[in-house]
Amino acid sequence: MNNKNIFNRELSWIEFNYRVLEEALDEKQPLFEKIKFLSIFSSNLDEFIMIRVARILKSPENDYSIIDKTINSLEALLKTIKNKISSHIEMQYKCFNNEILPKLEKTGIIFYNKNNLPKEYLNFINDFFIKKLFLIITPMAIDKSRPFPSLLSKSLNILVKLKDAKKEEPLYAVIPVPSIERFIQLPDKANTKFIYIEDIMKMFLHEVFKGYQIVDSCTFRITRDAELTIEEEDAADILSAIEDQLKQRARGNVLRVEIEKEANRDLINYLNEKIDYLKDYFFSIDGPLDLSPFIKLTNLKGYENLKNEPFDPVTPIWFQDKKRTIFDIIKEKDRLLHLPFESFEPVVKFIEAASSDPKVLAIKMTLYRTSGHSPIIKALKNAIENKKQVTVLVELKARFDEERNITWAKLLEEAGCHVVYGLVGLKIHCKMTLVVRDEEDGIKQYVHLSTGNYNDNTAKLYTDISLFTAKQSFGRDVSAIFNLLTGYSEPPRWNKLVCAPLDLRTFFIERIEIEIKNVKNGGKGKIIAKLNSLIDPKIIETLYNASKSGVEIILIVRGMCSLIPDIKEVSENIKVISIVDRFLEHSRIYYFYNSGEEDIFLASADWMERNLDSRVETLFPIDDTELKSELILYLKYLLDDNQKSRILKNNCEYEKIKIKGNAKKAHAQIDYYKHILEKNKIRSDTNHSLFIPEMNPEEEKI
Amino acid sequence: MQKTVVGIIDIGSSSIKMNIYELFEDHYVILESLRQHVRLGNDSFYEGKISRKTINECIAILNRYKKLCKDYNTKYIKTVATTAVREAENSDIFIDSIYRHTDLEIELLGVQNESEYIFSAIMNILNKKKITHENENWAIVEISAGNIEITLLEGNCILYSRSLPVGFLKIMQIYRKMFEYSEENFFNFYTVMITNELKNFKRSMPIIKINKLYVVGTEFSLLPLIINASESDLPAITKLNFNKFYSKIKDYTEEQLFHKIKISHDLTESFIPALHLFTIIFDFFKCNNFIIPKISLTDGIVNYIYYVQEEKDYYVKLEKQLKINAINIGRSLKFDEKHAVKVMDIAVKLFNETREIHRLGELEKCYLIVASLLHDIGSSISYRSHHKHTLYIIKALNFFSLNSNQINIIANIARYHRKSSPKNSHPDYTALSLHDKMIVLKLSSILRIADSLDNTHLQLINEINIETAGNYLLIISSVKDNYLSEFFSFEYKKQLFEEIFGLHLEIKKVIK
Repeated sequence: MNNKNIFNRELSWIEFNYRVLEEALDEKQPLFEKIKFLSIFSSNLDEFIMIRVARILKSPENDYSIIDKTINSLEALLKTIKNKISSHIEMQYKCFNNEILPKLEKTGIIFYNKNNLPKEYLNFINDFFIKKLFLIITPMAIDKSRPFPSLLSKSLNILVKLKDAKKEEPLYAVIPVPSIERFIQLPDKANTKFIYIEDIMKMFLHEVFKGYQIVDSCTFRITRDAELTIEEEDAADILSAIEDQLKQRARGNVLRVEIEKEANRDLINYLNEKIDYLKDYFFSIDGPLDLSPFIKLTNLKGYENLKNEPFDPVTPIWFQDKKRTIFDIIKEKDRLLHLPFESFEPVVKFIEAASSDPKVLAIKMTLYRTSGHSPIIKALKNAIENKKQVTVLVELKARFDEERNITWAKLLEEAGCHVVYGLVGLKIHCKMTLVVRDEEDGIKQYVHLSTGNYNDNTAKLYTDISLFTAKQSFGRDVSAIFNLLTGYSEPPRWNKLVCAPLDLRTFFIERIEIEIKNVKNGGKGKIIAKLNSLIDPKIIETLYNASKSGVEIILIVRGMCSLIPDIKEVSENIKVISIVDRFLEHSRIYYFYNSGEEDIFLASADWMERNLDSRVETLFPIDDTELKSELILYLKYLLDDNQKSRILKNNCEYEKIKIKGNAKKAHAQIDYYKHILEKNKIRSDTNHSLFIPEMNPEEEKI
Repeated sequence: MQKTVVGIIDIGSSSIKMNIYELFEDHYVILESLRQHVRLGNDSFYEGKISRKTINECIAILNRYKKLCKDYNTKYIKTVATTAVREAENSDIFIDSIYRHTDLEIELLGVQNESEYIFSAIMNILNKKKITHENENWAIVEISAGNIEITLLEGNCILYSRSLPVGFLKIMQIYRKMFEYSEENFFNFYTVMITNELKNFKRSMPIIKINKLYVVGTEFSLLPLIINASESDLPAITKLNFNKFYSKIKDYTEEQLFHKIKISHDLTESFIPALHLFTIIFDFFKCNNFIIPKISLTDGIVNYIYYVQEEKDYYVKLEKQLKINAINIGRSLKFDEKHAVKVMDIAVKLFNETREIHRLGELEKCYLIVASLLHDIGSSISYRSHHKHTLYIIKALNFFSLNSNQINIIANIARYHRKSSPKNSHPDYTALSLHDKMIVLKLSSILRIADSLDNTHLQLINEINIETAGNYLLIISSVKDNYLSEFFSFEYKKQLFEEIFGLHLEIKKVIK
C-alpha cells in the first residue's frame, strides 16, 4: 500500500489526545469536567511515552509503519512528536494557570505554594512535616561513592543543591516525594485549601539537611520505558516471567524528564548530565508537575454544580422482573446491555446467580481488567464454595494491571478455581462468560459476550455493549473458545462467533469485499464501523478499495486512525468522525448493509494489527431483529452528533462539526441516555398494560 | 432411561477426540466436541512404537478432558483407541501408562468394531430420517490417518467389510522411510498404493453395484460447509462439485488451506492427501455423488452402547447380516451353496427345537448359522482335512459385529463338523474359555447332525421335525428319496450330541 495515504499512528494518537485536551479547553465545559480532561490528557501522555515512544525506539530503522507522507525517518518522527507534545503541554498549562486555578479560587478552592502560603497554616505544615513526612522521606546524597539514584518512573523528586561550609564544591541530593497525596488539605472550615506536597518538602529542606546550606532546589519527574519484553516462548511459567519483568520495568530506560519552569540553569545542567534520557525529551513545565492526580479533586463534595449533570445508569426493564430468574429472562430472548447508560448490575447478578444457583454446574470467564474489590471475583469465590466448577482465564499481560491481576489470580487459584494465566504469545482480550446449567430438559449454556471488561468501575465511564444469550449456537462457540484457550481442543468451525487471531481479519476483509461486490453488481454497499482505533494496513487497504468501488463508508473512530478520508480517487467515499465526550467511547460495532440484510456485529477487537494478530478476540453477531434495530438507532445517534463529534480531514487534522443553519443540537451521549430512559419507561408502561382485566362496560361507567 | 452425561474419548492416529453427550430416553445431545492434535500415528507407523513424549502428551490431554467432564457432572467416561495404538509394539505399555496417570481404561478397538460403530451412527441418522436403503447396495468409507475401512451393505445388512492399510499418515511414514524424508512424488506413490489395495479389495468383495456412498472422516466433515454450505445431517456432494473443488485446492499450501478455506492447522497436512485418496475410491465405486453424514466414531459408540442394544430385533438383524456375509464369503470361495444352506436350515431347526436341552440363546444361534454355512469352506484348499482348513480360513475372516474370540468360537464349531471331537490338546479349542468351549461342543454336535443329514450334498431331506419322548429324541425327516448315506452318517455323527446331552437320538423317515 502507498504509505502516502497513511496517517502515522503515533501522530494520529497525539491528535486524539489533543481532542481530549480540547474538551478541557471547551468553554462550555463545567470546571470539574475541564479538570478531569486535563488530568486524563496527562495520564494518557504518560502511557504514550512509556509504551509508544519506547516502542518506536525499538523499531527497526526502516519500519514502514513509521513512515507516512510527512515522516521519513524515526528521528523525524520523534522530533515531530516532541514538538507536538510540547505545544499541547503549553496549552494544557496555560489553561490550568490562567483559567482553572483562578476559577477554582473564585469558588473558594485554593492551591498554595511555598511562596504564598498564609502564615496561619505554618503550624499545621510544621506538624505535618515533622510528624508524617519526615518519617517517610529518604534523602539520597550524590557524591563519588554514591551515584545518582535509580528513581521510580512517574515519581516526583526534588533535586537539592547544598553547600557544606567546609568544602568548596557544591553537593547535590535527591529526595523522592512520597507517593501519598499529591496535594495536602489545609485545616480550614470548608476543607478547600490545599498545598502541593513538594512545596511542603521544599519548605523544610533545612530540617532534612541540617548543617548544610540549601543553595537551590527544584522538582522534577522522570518517565521510563514500561514495555514488558517477556520471552514467553522460553518461559517455563508465564506468571513468574511476568513477575520478573515487573521488577525490570522499574529499571526501564528513562525516556522523558519534566522539570519545573523556575528551576535554575545549573540544576537543569546537573540533571542533563546525570540522567540519560531520550534526546530532546526534556520538558520544562510551567506549573505543578503531573496534573493527573487532579482528577481526585473532582470528587470534592458540595461542588456538583461544577460537574456535568449525572447520568444514573438505568436498570433495564427486562432485569426488573424479580419473579423470574435471570436465566429464564435470558432464555426467553437475547438481551442487550448498553453501558454506562444502563447499569452493570445485570452482569454482576448473572455471575452471582450462577454462583449460588443449585442447577449451575460450571462457570467459565475471561478476565482482563477488573476492579480491586470486584463483585465478580467475590461471586466466583462464592461459586467455588458452592462446589461449582469455576474456570477463569486471567490475562496477566493486561498492561499496567499486571500486578493487580497476579494478586487476585493467585487468590482465586488458592480458593480452588481453575486459573489459566493467558497464552504464550497472545493476550486474551475477549470478554465472555459461560454458565453451564443442568435443567430438567437438558443441560443449557448461558452466555455473556461483551465489548468491554468485567470491571464495575469502568462500567460507569466506558460505553460498552454486551449480549446475554441462551442460544445453543452461541453456547457451543463460547464453550469451544474456552476449550481452545484452556488447551483442551483445536479450534472448531464456528457457528456464530469469529475469533482472532484465527480468522477475524479475513472475516472483516470478506465482509468489506461483499459490499464491494454488491456495488459492482449494481446494488448498494455501506459500512459503518464504530471502534477505538483503525491502523491495520490490510483493512485500510480493503476499505480504500471499497471506497474506490463506490461503497459508502462511515467510520466512528474514537482514537488512532491511520486511514485518511477524502483523498481523491482513494477514499472519497469514506467519512471518519471521532467522538470524545464524558464517557469513553469503547464499544466496537460493525455494520454491513449486505443487500439490505443489515448485519450487525459487536466485537472486543479494533481494526489494529495487535487485535487481529496477537490477541484472542471475539466478534459476535446480533441476530435478534429488535436488538439489531436498537443498535442501528444508536449508530444514528452517533452519526447525528454535532456537539462532541469531530471530522477527520484529508490533511490529518480533526475539525469540530459546525451546526448548519437552524439545525438542532445533537449530543449523542446525552440524547441516547434520554432515549434509554424513555425506552425503559415506555416499556414499563407497556408491561403494565399487559394485565388489563376485561371489565363489564357497564361497571366502567361513572 | 434417566438423563445422564457420558464422555467418549477416541484416541486416533492424528488426534484425540472427545465428545460429551447428554443422554435422554430416545436421543442424545452433544454438549462438547473436542479435538487435540497428537501425532500418535507418526510414532506408531514410523518408529513402530509410541514414544514416551507422545504418551505424556496423551496423558496431559486426557487429564484435561477429564477436568472438562467434571463441568458437566459426567457420570461415565469411555476411552477407545484405534489403529495407531493397536499397531504400536508397545500398546500394552501405552494403555497401562494412561491408566496409571489418568484412571482411564482404554478399550482397544478392532477394525470391525470401528466400522460397526460408524455403521451404528449412520443407521441412527437414517432411522431418524426414516431413510431405508431397502434392496439397495450401498457403501460406507471411513477415511482415517491409519486405515481406510470400506463396508458394503444391502438394506440394513452388512455384506462385506474390509480395512485397507492406506491411511495418509501410514503411507507417508512408509514413503519417508524409503525415500529419506523426500516428499517429491509422494502422490504418485500414494496413488499406486491405493490402487493396488483396491484391486485386492475388488477380488474379494461381492460383485454388486453400489448406489449410495457414505464417507466419514475428520477432513471430510468440513467439506459440506466449504462446498455446499449445507447444514443438513446428510449432506450430499456431487462428483462434479467435488472434482471442481479438488482441482481448485489440490496445489494449495498449508497456509492457503488455513486462510482461504479455513482448515484448522492440525488438519492442513492431511487434508489434500485424504481428498486425493478419496478421488480414487470415488472412481472405484462409480457413484455420481457421495454423502457425508454428520457423525463420528464416538457418536457410533454412544448409539451402540446406549440405544442399539435395546432394539428388540437386534438378533434378527445380526442373523440376517451374518448370513449374507457368510454366503458372500462362501461364494467368493466357490462353496457348495445348496449344501451349505441346507445344513444351515437343518441346524437351525434342530437348534430351535432343542432349546430346552442346550439352553443357548440367539447369539449362539448366529454362531451356528455362520459355522453351518462355512463348515466346508476348507475344501477350497483341499478336501483332505478340509475341516482343519476351515478352521484357519474362518479365523482369518472379518465378520461385522463379531470380535476375534467370537470368530474363533465359530471357527471351532465349523472345524468340529467332522472327524475328531473337541480335545484339550487342540490349541484353538484350548484358547477358549470353559464357557466358550461348551458352546463349541454343543453347537458342533448339532452341526454334525445337520451335516450328516445332507451327506450326499443332494438335499434329499426336505424338512425335519423333532419329537421328544423321555430320554429319546426323534428326528422325523421328510425325504425325497432313499437316504442311506445320510442315515449311516447320522448314526456316526450323532454320538457327540448324545454324549453331551445324555440323550438317545433316533431318525425316522417319511417319504414325500
